[in-house]
Amino acid sequence: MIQVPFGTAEWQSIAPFSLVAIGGMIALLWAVFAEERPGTTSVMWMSQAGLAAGLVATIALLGSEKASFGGTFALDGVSLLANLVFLLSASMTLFMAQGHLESMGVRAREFYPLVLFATAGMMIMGAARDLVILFLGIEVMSLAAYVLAGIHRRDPGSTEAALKYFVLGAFATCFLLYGIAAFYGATGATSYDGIRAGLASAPRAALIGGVALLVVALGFKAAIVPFQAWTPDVYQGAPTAVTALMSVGVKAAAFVGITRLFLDGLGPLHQDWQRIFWVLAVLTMTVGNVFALVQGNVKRMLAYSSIAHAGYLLAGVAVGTSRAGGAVLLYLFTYAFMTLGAFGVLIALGTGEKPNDDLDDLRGLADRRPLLAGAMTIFLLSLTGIPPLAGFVGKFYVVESAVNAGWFWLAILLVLNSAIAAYYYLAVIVAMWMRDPIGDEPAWESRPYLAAALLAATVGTVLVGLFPSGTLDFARHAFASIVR
Amino acid sequence: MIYAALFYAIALFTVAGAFGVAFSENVVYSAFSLMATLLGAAGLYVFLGADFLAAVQLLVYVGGILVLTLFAIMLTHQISDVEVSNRAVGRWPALGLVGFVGIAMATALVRAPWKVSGEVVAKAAGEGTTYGIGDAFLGPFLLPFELASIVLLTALVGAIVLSRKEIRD
Repeated sequence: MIQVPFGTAEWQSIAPFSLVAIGGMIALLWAVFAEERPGTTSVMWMSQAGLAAGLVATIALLGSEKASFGGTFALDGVSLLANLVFLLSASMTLFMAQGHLESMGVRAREFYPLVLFATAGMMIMGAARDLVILFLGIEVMSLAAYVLAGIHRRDPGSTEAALKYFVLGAFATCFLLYGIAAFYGATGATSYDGIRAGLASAPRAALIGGVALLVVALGFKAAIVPFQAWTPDVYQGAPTAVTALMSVGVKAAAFVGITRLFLDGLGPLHQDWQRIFWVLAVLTMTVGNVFALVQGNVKRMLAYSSIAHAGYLLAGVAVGTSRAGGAVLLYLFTYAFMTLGAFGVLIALGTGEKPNDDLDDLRGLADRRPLLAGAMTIFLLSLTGIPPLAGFVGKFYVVESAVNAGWFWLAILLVLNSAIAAYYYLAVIVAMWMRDPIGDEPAWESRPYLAAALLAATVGTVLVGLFPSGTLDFARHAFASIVR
Repeated sequence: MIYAALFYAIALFTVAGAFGVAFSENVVYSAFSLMATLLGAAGLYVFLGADFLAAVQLLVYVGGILVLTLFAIMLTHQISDVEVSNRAVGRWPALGLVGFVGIAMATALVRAPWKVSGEVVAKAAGEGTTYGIGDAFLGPFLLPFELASIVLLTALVGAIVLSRKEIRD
């Protein structure tokens, strides 16, 4: 007779993601039985309630630090802070999608529950301290994301996005499983504690192979060069609200997963993976920025810019100290607000007939919709990294942690890359404020939920930029117990 | 003696099936050859003392996935006429690549420090592995076991969303 290990710590650690998943299931049933009328928002609100339940659990647990399920599932500052990023991006996605989907003619109300399932998957990834649990979290998140990308079934671009994402994502999953098998074969364990214990006596070739396979698999999810080829097409083809979720939530989950796996589970191998990440970080930021320069479509430009930001984040991972871990977590926070906001503005520009997300469509926006142009300007300046906005703070602490650990070249290359990025972000601002509009004014719809989400994103971008220290201290403290 | 003979017979059966999958001109024959491979693999699991895995292999792969593959082939119009070989890569580069991977795998096989787990197999032969797996699912692997159900639920919902008749206004 085996004792089932299930106590208070277990209940507490699974509470946040379970509440979100259960909220998704209730919303799913609600969508079946609720009255079907155009403009109904009940499913959206049911889903928001699920996210809110997860948020309440997360906030109530802030500060606790417990190992559960034999140390394979973490309840600590990192997982809780990451939960806040995931819940924030999911909630904003739901608000932004309301109205946006209907104007495109998407009636599938499973959209909202699927966003909740994806969020639950991200939360599992953020807390996983076992490769099997990490794998299951990735799969929950990815399966939902594949479907969300293709939810606009009448649009060939959306279908193409879903198919590309699915086929390549399944391929990346193979790498993940081979990597897990390599570590299991070499160390006899899949839990991070077990792997750490077995590293010393494991054959080196298997470890190097395993690290390489895991870097490919997780690099795919985080859109790191050279595993980024799917990103522009998928981000551009998917409905913009889904793109926002993918470029914030999915990427953040991948980075929290990477950070925990490499800094904690594979910490003793840091000399091997730090070099890999150093090269990949520089490659990722440079390729993302250079390709973003030549894009005429703002949504596609933001896709490349999100690749560049993955490079900055990876630079933080490469540095690998607890200071850098805290900086990565803070960066994810700042990145969430400004990126969700920028995609939200693109949603606001779209009408039922046309997405209106080319650079030419944004010309003269300041005359037509000054508030929207103002919000977009704040998000873009923040993405550039202009103080005192959030984006500056995020970059600053990554650079600071790199310099602190003696990685000067990485810091210099990061700063140079931000300078390149300024060019294409400013081009959009110039188009909005200094150029004359082309064509007639599109028949814009008023969307109160979207407006509220944009307001929240703007406030977040400014506030995190002005008062980063609370979050930063918390994040650094959270990583201090992980990096050993 | 009989044990060894049986093992080699099943191994041969498996490999012959694999050759059939790779070299058949017709996709339907490939699918049927795959059945031999999968059955043979189930037999090899029995030799390893993994009775549960052998049963799952039979139920899921032979009983489920293979039948699904056959249905897909039979229901797809004119698929048996399709040239299955990949034209992008010629035969010689392919041979080189396969040779390289084969040598790498053979080297790994020879040099790997294999753990001979005689006692594990003997223990499994006594009471089977099913008990242990069941205990593990409700003990140390409780969380992954439960998480797998969320994966399946998401996949089911997703499949329905993407494949049903579209709701229109």
